[in-house]
Amino acid sequence: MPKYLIERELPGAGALGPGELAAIAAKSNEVLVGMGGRAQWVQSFVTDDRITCIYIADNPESIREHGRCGGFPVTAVHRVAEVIDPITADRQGALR
Amino acid sequence: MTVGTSGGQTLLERASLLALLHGLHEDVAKQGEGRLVLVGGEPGAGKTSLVRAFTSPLPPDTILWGGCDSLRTARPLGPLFDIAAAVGGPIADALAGAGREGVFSATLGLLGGPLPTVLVIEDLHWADEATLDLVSFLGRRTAELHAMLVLTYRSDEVGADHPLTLVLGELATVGPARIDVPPLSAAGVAALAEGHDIDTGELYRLTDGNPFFVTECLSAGLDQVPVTVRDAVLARRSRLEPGARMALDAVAVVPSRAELWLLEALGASPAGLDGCVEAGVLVPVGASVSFRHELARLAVLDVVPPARRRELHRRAMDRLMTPPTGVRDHARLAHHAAAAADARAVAIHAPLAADEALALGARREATAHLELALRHGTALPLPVRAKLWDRLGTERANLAQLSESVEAFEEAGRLFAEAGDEVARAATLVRLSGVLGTAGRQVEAVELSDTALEILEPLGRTSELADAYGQRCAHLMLARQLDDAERWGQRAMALAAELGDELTLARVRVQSGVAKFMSGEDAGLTRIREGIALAERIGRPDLESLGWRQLGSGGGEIRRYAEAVPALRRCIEHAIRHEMPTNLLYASAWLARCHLEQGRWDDSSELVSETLRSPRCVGTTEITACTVLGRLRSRRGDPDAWTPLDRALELARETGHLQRLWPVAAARAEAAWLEGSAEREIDLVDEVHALADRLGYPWAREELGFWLWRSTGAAPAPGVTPFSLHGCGSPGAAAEAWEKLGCPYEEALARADTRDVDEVRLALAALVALGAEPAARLVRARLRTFGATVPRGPNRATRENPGGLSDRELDVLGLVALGCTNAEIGDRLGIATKTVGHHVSHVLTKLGARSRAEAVALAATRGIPLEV
Repeated sequence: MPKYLIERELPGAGALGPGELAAIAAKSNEVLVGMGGRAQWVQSFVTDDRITCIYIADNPESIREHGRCGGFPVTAVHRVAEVIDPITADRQGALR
Repeated sequence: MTVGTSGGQTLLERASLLALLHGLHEDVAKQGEGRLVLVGGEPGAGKTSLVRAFTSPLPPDTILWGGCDSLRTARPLGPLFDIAAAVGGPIADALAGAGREGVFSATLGLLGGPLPTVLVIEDLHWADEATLDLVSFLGRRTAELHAMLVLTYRSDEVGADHPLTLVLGELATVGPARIDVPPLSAAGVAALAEGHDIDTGELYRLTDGNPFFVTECLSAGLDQVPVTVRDAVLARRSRLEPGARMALDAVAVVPSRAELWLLEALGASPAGLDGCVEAGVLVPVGASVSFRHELARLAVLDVVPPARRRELHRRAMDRLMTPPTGVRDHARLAHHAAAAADARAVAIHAPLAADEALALGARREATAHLELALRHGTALPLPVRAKLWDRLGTERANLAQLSESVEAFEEAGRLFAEAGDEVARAATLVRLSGVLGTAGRQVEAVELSDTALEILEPLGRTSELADAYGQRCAHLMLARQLDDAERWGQRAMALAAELGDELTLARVRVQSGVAKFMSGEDAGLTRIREGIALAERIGRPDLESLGWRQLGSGGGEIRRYAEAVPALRRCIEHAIRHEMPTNLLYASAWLARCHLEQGRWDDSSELVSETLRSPRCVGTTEITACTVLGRLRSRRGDPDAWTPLDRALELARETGHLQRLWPVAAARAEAAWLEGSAEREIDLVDEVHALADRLGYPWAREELGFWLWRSTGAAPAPGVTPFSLHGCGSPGAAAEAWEKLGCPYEEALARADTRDVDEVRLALAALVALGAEPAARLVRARLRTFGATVPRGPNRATRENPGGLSDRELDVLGLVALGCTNAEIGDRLGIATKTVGHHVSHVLTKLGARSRAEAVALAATRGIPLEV
């Protein structure tokens, strides 16, 4: 299944406490269980006014369904074309 | 009911599967929520033995057991007949003539006991269409039932094209437990072979651990392991007493299970049958016997000499003519008649079997029976053959086998002509013309409909003629030639009313009512509703469904949501109640389209995803659903908008119909525009626009004209829909019209093209609220061109618009377009003539025009609104 990057506009996200974040994550997990594997959560990055998430899902509708059921905003959905990191620079694969 | 023993075999290596089944059974008992269990495996893997071992400790009155049979053409609802024979009561009464719905609800009635009921249906790979419908009907309701539904099938015979695959795919959503019965391990085979003087390694190698093959080999008592299961079975047969062997041969000609009363007529002696049961080659099942496995039956049948086989089939046929139940089973009779090469008997029973199959909704089986009748019926009288071909044409069309249907109708037409029955021939041509229309062969369809009318008109006022008028109306309606459709519809209704032919009247009211409604006359609405009411009164749910479906999709196409949405909901409810999955999906796809247009994007997205997940979402339904999905994704800026839009275009091209092509073309143009390259889809839009123009259908012509204008600036012809208002330079009026229709997205886009910055800001807010990010981005860019330096409010003098003109210059240009002189313009605007001259020269410079006329023309092509 393709990987998606999801932008969620959430003013004040960076100020959320651990309890609030735990509640959000629990809600998200609950919705995902109900979706029977059509969407899987990889991780999320919380910044000042926005949460940016990585999900694996069968299509963008499943991402939106998850947002709708959990009450999470979905500002934009992007399909991840490729993931790169420092090792990508060395196409031979040998670490130096 | 009584269930045969599992042949006295110990079940090896099945403990975990048995525990799993018992665990599921306990869950059902505890939670009161039913479970669906799919048991797959290769032939001989021991599916039946496993399920029997599972049910044997359970209370017998909680077990219902039915099997599909391997008749060339399966008996419709065969498994339910097995169950009814065991339990009697309401299910038996329902099968005796309550129709499909009655039978389905009687089956639900069987599953409501205080203890969980276990309903076993075996060998689903042979199931007839009605049984498959029953399985999906029960399967979808699994959670609400206090029952365990256990279905067995040969997984290696169920390929992608197998009808069972479709049903299992649909049922995937209810979360079935899947059990795959694996072959035995080498140790398992060795354990089974204990006490036999046989090379167990060789036995394992040759049988691949197939339990049936293993036990056959062991029972054959040979020194060497036979190479095939057939050899093993035949070795066992050869060891039987002559009387038992004769009995075994008789049982082999009867598929599935053979009743003792039938076997008596086939000369199977009770002693012989007992011998077979003792030797373990046959198992008793109630008052019947059957082979331990279908593989064994086929192996034995194969060695019965042809003349003797035919004789046995003939005797079976004779005996089945007067069954002790008093009810003839025409499917079985046809099977034995065909095997006995008795053409006359096939020709009698196969069509009757087709009737029975049809009454239970088993269309595929009905078709197979008709084909059987025709294959054997070459000596039948001409008119009989002609009628059979005609029926076959209808059934094939219902199965969407269009080219095969055309062949059958052509043959029927030829035979009717030969028999000199002109009315019947013309009626066949009318039906053929309908099929050709559906297949997209419009020209031929209309020609044939002409021929039929030529034949029928001189022959008097008949129902066939009314049907022919109605068919002509339907063709014109499909081609969206709505005025002509209405004329033919009137004729058809008048004649059907005159003849008191209510069926034709209901059909034509629906078809012609839609045409009238779509051409903007509300009298059409009343007519469709009258047609639906009549269909309900004469008991034709298919026509009722057609009525709701046409009202919903036709109303949706002209954006009459107040009528379309409730009709689509009715169609969905009705389709669920009457098990019409095709119409259910068609109406769901259309409802998703209406939700999209009404700005209810979440509802639309949910519905369209669900619709597309169904494996039955094909043809026109798939076109609609893919178009909606593509539009949703492109409007939201979600990835992968082009995948569904490509699929929709591919399918729409196959139909060649405007009503299918137009929404796809518009959706693609919109998606390209949102990506910043509107011109990319121009060829497609141009082509479909030409088709719409030829047919003069406003909604199609004007939506496509609008996209031509967006991508090339070519001013569209004036029209009657908000699309043309928008394209012709009156976006404000278009926005109001969209608001009245209830289409917020189109409304916002029209508002965004006005010259009033406040309106544009409103449009932006509406787009953001809808989640229409790509369009919002375009509108933000347009707002920026108005300039941040521009104060809001009444002072709009220096604001700019996309043509780079100031508002005052635009006002001047608007008056220039009306043919005003500089002096007249000065009077109208209250400024000096000389100032007007400055404005005009600025306009010419900015537009790069050499004359006033050229300036007006350029403004039109660039989409600069000319308003006064």
